[in-house]
Amino acid sequence: MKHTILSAKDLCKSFAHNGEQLHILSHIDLELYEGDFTVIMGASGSGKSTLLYTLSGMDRATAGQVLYGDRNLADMSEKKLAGLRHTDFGFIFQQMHLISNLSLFENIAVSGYLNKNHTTSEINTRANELMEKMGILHVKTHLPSQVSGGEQQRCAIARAVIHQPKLLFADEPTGALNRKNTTEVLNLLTDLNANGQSILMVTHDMRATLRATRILYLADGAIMGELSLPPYQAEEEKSREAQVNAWLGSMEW
Amino acid sequence: MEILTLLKANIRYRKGTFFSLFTLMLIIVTAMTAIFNATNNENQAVEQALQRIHAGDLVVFIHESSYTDELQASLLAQDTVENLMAIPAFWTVSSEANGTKSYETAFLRKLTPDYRILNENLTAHEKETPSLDKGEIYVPLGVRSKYSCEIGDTIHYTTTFGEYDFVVKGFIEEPNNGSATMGWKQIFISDSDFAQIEDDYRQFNTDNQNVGAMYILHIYKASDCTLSDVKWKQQLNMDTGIIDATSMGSLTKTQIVHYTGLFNQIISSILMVFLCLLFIIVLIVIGHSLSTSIESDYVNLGILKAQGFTTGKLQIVLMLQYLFAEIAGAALGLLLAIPLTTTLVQLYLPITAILADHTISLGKSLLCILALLLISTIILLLLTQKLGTLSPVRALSAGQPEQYFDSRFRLPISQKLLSGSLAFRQFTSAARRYLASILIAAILVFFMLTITVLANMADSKSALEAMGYMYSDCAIYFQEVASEQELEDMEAVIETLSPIDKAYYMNTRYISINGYEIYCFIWKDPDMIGGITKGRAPLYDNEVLITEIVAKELDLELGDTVLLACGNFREEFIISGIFQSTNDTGLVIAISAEGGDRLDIPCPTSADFSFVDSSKSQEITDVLNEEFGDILDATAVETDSFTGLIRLALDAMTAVIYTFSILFALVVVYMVCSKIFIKERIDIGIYKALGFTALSLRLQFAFRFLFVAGIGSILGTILAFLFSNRLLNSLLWAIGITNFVADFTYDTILIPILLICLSFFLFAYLVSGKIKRVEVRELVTE
Repeated sequence: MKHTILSAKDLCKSFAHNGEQLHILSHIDLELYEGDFTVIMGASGSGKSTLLYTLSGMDRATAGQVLYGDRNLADMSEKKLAGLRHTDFGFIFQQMHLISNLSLFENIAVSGYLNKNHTTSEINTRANELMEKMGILHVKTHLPSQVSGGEQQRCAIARAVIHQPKLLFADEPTGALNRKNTTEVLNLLTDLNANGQSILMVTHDMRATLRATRILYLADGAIMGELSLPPYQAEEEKSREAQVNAWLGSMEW
Repeated sequence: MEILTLLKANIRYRKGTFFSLFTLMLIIVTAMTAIFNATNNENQAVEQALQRIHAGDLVVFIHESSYTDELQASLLAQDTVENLMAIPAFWTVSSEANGTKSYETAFLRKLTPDYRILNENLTAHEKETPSLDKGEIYVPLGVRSKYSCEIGDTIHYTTTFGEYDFVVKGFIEEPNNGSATMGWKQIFISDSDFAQIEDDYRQFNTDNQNVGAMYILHIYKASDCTLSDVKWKQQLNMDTGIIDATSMGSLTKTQIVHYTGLFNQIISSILMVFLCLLFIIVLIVIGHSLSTSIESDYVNLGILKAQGFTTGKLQIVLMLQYLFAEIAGAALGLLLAIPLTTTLVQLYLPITAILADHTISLGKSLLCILALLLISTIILLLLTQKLGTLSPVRALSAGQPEQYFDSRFRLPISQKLLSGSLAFRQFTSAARRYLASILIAAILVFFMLTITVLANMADSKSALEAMGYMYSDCAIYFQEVASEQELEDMEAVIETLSPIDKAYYMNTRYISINGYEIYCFIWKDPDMIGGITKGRAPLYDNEVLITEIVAKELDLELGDTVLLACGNFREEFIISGIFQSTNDTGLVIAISAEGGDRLDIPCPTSADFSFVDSSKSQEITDVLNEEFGDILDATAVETDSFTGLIRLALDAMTAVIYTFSILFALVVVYMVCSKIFIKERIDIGIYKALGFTALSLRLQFAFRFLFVAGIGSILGTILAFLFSNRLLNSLLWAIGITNFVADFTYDTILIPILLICLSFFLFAYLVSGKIKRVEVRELVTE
């Protein structure tokens, strides 16, 4: 029996544009489970990122609920949502978004410092461990502008998990990377998931999708289908790709 | 048309910059125009008033018996003299009103119709000058300040031959001696009172001594005389002896204008210097804003260049954008200056005693504004030169790289002081962005410290004494020269009530130095002379101290020999030292009592005491008058309304400068914050995504400006230590202060620094309120 970590009920999101209401998300019901590597797929403009940010509390829903435990994110104040971000949620962005005047080490540690349950030395030790794991310890004192895109994204992942979040949100984390860096970043995410990290990722990259244990297909603001997969094994990638392709074909991808 | 389109878009896009610059120019132009016009109007009013009463180019106060036919003929025989006008008067020994007694001489004279009377509200002149009835007088406004008297009050005058009470009928505009800055005053009495006083005098003075009657002698310079007033007076004295042999005192027209407008000029000069510094701040703000604009619009400018816009056209667009804001601010400032000029003229009135015109001179004001705009244009032209080096290809392909650098001051980020340490990092890694703000904070702190030091000077006994000012709790006038025994007895009585802090025994007299009339202190104990800046006090009877102002005026140096003359006595003296004194605006010399003997000047004829326990001054004064009433007349020294007025002016000036500084801090912080906010919007989003609250991000912003203000304050304090004295010396030279002694106390330094730091911190916190509106969603790449 899987344990629900986050759920959405009758979730709607619309924007006013030139006097017209644009419905981006339409009555979505969804449950995310602990330990899953969930991927939301869909064409451009299908509302993937909007769904991700609405589920993470970074954006407010027009109607409906997003429940994290017994708390409705829509009812939480900005301060409480900020607290949730530095304790329970982690974020990875397509454009990395590292703080340009902090070193890679500081970019990671500063996020951990916000969590007052850990001492500075505990955070520093964990930041160093993560950097070693991500293969960026040798550039720990460099500024973001002084390292490659892959190193920046690995730093962003380390930053997102420094405080051991219960749920990691990733918005097209490989969108700005080349093939080699993409593989490295996906391996890291797969590894994190294998160690129990719950992940919700938005992507339209097939290689990234293959790492998922659960795929949701979004079209016209609604979830059109769902596919569950066993945990990723590199050697099974081809058969996994065929299965996903077939399913996506049935979704008219 | 294309320039207009871009200009409109730029102004719309940079509303914050436009309104900030508009506000800064509004403040500067309002204040500058009002101060300039009020001061200018006052000077003109004094000149016109002097013309109206047909004042001579030199006014000599001369004993009746000294103004002989020979002297008159000798004066008229001079090529440089056009004419003479002698106004009979009687000088007084003392005067008293509303409990205030003064030993400053007043001249009782008849009223003539060319003098104007002020209305009851002191806001305009009466159309006609009503004649005086018996017992009534008109007094200048300087008298009102001195005795805090109003219409209907009685003033008691004592002459050597009688005592007279008069009721004040109104206030008269008397440009010769009427201002609060001058001690001697002309008092206007009725013809019948004058006849009565003359009768009394003739009956008293049967052997024709110099005991009361005198002339106010106006001497008119020949129109073809090219000598300055000072040189002409010196020449006239050497040729006729008018000053040495006969004069009680004299004033040239130039001196009258200078003395009358003295305090206005100083206050205006200080405020004008401050406004110039504020304008420098405006230029710094423009420079900062323009360079960050070019940096942030690098790609857009590249696009415009690629479309065919020349560097010149882009320069015009950018320059007009700033100049429009300045012109709009200046235009409104000019309008607001009209009521402010009226207020200033009204504020100057108690000091100058001359009611000036309230209008502003549009031509001169516009010239000033044009000068400011011209300087701005030149700065803008220089700053926009860099547009010429902007390559469209480079701008479009690479954009402008971020200007972060690996700072040497990279302190670690601390968990405990997270906001503070992050703020410090943001500051050190882009310090160039804050350079302008640091400079601005430094300038503001420098001037705030300078003005605080000046305002505190009025309360600092040690600072004033170091500048040659004599602190007095009790002033004593001896009826005849006091003997050593009398002085000892008097001191013994004082010591029973309070220890004496300082005792100054002296005489004062106008004498001439190389033919130039000057106020001379004759000291019983020259070691008591304060404010000596070079050399030493006169040890021997042939030594004289002069001020730096006298040295400059007469081209004298330490060690020079000068000729001092008083009456028929002429002796050579050697300059033994340079000192400073605020008496007679620094045109002062000092000799010892032995030196006074050589010129037949007795000493001491007066004394000033400061007591350890100043609260006993009235009690001591009463005891002295009771026990030694037959040989002296003692007066407790209290702050008169004129001194209060100066105190008020200093306080008002401090308040104005502090207010302007804080206003400028607000506008500057707003402008710089807005620019930084645009640049760091993404970083703010990232911090928010990491879980930083808007409050902690706002605090980071505010802390950054606290560092800026802190560094600026340190710089400003160093500047104040280095340059405040020099600046104040040049501003206060006119009142005789040539070596300003700044009394920097902890309060003096801390108050301006705290105010500026707090303003920067608070304003940055308030302006950063827009952080609340930054959505994390802005980080999403759709």
